[in-house]
Amino acid sequence: MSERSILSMVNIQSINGCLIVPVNSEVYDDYISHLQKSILQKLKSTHAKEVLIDVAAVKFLDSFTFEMLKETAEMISMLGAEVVFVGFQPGVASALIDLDVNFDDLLTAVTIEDGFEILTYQKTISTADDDTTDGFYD
Amino acid sequence: MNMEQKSIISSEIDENLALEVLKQIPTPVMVVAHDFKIIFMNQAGCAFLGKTFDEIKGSYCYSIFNSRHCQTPECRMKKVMEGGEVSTARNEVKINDKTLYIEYTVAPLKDDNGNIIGGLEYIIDITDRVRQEQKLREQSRIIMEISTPAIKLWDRIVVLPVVGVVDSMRAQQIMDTMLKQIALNSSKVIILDIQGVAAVDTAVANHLIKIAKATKLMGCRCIISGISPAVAQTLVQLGIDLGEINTNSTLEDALSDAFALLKFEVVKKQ
Repeated sequence: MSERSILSMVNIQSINGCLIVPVNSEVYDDYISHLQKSILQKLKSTHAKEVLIDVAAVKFLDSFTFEMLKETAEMISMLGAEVVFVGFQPGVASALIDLDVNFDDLLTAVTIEDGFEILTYQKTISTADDDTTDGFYD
Repeated sequence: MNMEQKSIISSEIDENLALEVLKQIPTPVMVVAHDFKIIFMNQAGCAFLGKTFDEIKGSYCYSIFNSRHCQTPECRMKKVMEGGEVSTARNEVKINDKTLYIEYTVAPLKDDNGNIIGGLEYIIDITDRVRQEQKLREQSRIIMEISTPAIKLWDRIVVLPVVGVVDSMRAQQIMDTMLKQIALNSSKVIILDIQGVAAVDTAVANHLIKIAKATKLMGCRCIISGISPAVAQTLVQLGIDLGEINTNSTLEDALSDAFALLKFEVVKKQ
């Protein structure tokens, strides 16, 4: 796929210092690495402290692309922002369980609204006390 | 043993007798020529079609049977005529506007030089068997459905009572039901009540852990309730670590935990 068509598929919006990243239904490694770059660049330019990755459109996800998404989350945290995944499809979730992937440190939510709530919660606990890790959403 | 029977056994079967045997076989037997025109049909076949042989003779077999395979590459007769092996297939035929299920076996007919000149087909009516199978499938589907009900208990709280035996198929089904429910109601807390589960061993515990993980991936919290003292004992003795999964002994406690997670409060009216 040409660079231009990949570019047109990435549409990151920023709302109140939170980046909203919708992931396309067709997920493949080129696209994810492009998405990764776009998020990190946007994070740098907007100084956003929260990222919400919307995966509701994704119908198929293999362990490799999931690892890439996880790495993306790690990179985002490295830049000092909180990241939450929203709307994993039932089929995707059960397939990932069957693939036995590890997602212990990922934050997930069912709806975007919940996602925001989690991000806000994370921010309050990280500003209140850096050592506090247990709570509702950890 | 009378004289006639003796003669059948001792002498070679002559052509007339062979034809008679073929006619009397209690299952439909048909012979078609290379152009799919019917050149022979035994009595059972005529009865199956509800026609006399004179009515059928010379017709194309596909115009008589109207089956699913007729005039498609699936037709075993066609395959055999093109040099394929003897084969059996399931098929659906339409005779007198009635759909019947059959199993048919096809063999090539060859002349003395080994050239294929037609095909022999015998048919077994399996309609009753197929109907039974369909009924069975339908019943097992219903049993599956009623065995994993998902009850919406409160706004964004869903309860899944599990009763009976949990094997890997059942666990998969519970997981599917749960994940679908989460997506449907955007549930935030799902309570898995295992009070009715007869025995919890390592396999069942692993299934439960998997289910809890999957719900977490969807962004929902899973509480396992109904853990009896005996189950708690076995789980600990087996050395199973349920990790971060919330567990409770009763559904009541699980519900109050769910309320706490959703920041609900139950207050008695003054």
